Amino acid sequence: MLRIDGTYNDGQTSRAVPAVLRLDAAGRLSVSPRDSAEAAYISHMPATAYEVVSKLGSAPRVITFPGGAVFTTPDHAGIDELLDRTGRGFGQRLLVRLEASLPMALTAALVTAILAWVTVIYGVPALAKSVAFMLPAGVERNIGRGTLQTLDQVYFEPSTLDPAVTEHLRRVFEPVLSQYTELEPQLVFRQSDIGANAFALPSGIILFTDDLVNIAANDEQLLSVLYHEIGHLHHRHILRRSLQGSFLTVLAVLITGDVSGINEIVAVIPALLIDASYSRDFEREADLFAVTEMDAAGLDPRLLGEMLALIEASYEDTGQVPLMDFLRTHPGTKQRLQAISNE
Amino acid sequence: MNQGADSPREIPFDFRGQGLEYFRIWIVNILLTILTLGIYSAWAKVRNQKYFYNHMYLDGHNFDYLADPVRILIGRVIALGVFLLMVGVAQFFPLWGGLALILTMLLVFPWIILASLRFRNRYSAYKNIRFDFHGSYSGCMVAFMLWPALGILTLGLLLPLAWYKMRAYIVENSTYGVSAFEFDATAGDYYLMSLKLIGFTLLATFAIGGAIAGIGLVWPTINILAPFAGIFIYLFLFAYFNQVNQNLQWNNTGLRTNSFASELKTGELVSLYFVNALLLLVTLGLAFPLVKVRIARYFASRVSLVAQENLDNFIAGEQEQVSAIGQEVGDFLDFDIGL
Repeated sequence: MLRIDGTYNDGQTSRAVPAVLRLDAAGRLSVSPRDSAEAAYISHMPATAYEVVSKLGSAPRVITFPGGAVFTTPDHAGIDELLDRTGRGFGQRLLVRLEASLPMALTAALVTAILAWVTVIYGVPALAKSVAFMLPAGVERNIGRGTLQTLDQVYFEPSTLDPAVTEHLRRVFEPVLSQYTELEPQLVFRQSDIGANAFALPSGIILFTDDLVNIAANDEQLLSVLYHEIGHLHHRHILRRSLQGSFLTVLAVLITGDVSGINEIVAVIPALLIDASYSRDFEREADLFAVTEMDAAGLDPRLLGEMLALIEASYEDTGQVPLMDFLRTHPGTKQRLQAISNE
Repeated sequence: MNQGADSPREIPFDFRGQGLEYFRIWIVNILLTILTLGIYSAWAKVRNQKYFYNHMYLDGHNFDYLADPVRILIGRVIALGVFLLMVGVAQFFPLWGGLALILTMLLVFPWIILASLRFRNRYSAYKNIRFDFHGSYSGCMVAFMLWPALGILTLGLLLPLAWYKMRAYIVENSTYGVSAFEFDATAGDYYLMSLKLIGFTLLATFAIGGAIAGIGLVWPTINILAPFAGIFIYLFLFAYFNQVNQNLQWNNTGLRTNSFASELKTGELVSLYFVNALLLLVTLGLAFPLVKVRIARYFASRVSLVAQENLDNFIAGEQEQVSAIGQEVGDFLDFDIGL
């Protein structure tokens, strides 16, 4: 006969009574109060009628009875013995064994880490890329509708460049823009505190800041930036970035099963790092596009490198702090120059 | 055996989970989730939740989480469909689709909150007595939509009141067995808390930001610290907010003759969050289980029940099953409703 000490709780009130569980030779289970001659709570119940809740960590073990009563005990050995004697619990024992084994945990960690790495670095971008190109081009332009108005309110002022300069640049850029009419590229100039920079908005708008135009030594350098921004449009980078963000969220929910955890400040950081890494990949892709197209158009690809160096120098002048590489949304200029010269 | 009404006992919460023990469970469940292409995730969710309930003790007894994984799986499938539909609508028709989406959300949002609270409470138990939630849809609409809207319309003047109304709705509609929780905080408490938060935000930003800007004038290298100072200020304010908010909530929550005492400290929370962030960064996220255990352990160590009576006399309420759809939709939309 097997005897296990624990507490009995009938499920009607929160009172937990010290109780004793006994398993007779025929495998039938009884529970009675420990220190009293009162009648048994449960008598001679067959194994099919009650349920032994699966072990979880070091928490006390629970047996649930029909009607909602429970028997709770810290006696793990006793409950395991009971499972053995009633010939049950192979499935849950297997899970518990997996959960308790250190080699299993290490293997799981390794496999998960590798799978997560592959998924995040290759899977998510590849999926986003194929989805982005399956969607009609109008989708991306729809996302970008209104973006410029918003940006104008927050970051930008009307351009203060001499209209003669912008007219001249438009004439210089026109032959290039007309090669990519399917992207509906549209050129705008804006003044901004953010310094020398250029953006491609999903709607096809390519925005040059006044500072960028001012620091360029010649039109060809600005053309190289134009090619880079067209590269972003050509590869649908903005749509892909937002798709990648959505996929990562779904993935995180499915795997960790915990969104409130993702909400915490601590989990935001990895997400930002991953996004920054995706963004750097896009910059490299746009650089590569610019270099290839410029080569084909008979322009010297080194112009892009010159322009990047000028932009970098302009930021140093204004005393802005260079970020560490893993925090940047753009690759370091040195790496980009290196990559460009390798082409 | 019965404690007299004049001898209150302060019973601390006690979290007995272990980082390494939980890590093994967590990682094996992740692997099973991956191997089953996500299907096991519902079982994994229950096991993860249950781990924290089962290892949280009060007065020598632990809590239990009793949700049925099959219900969660069904809820998840539907929630994923809704989520993808919404993403799709928002991306394809940002203007009209977005507007329709917002209107639908306004109506569905209270239902999601209500369903989540109901699901969570009904499948939570202590000493084999379940919690429950009795709030109505209209009550939820008023607390979570009408009041915040009024708060925004009055340019924030009524926001602390709205905050109070939301919290009161959650606490006062929660029951343990047949006994309802009570909420003793006043709208005034929430106004005071809001003033404190605004004051602290201004103080921290100007003091640290000003110091760096000032030193930066003579020694520009210090500007390198600016992003880190920003992170620190954010961390500090996050900790301060949690401290004030959680303490106010718990210290004003009562159950019959019993009450709670919560003594979270801002400094301790800052170091808790800071170390957690470092752990996650260094281990590339693998320390997640340890981080969760550390958070649970800290909160347990600072909250206790001030019991005026012995805890054996709570009576169970009626039980009915509820679906997990609302809660899972809520999860996907990233609502965080803490009690």
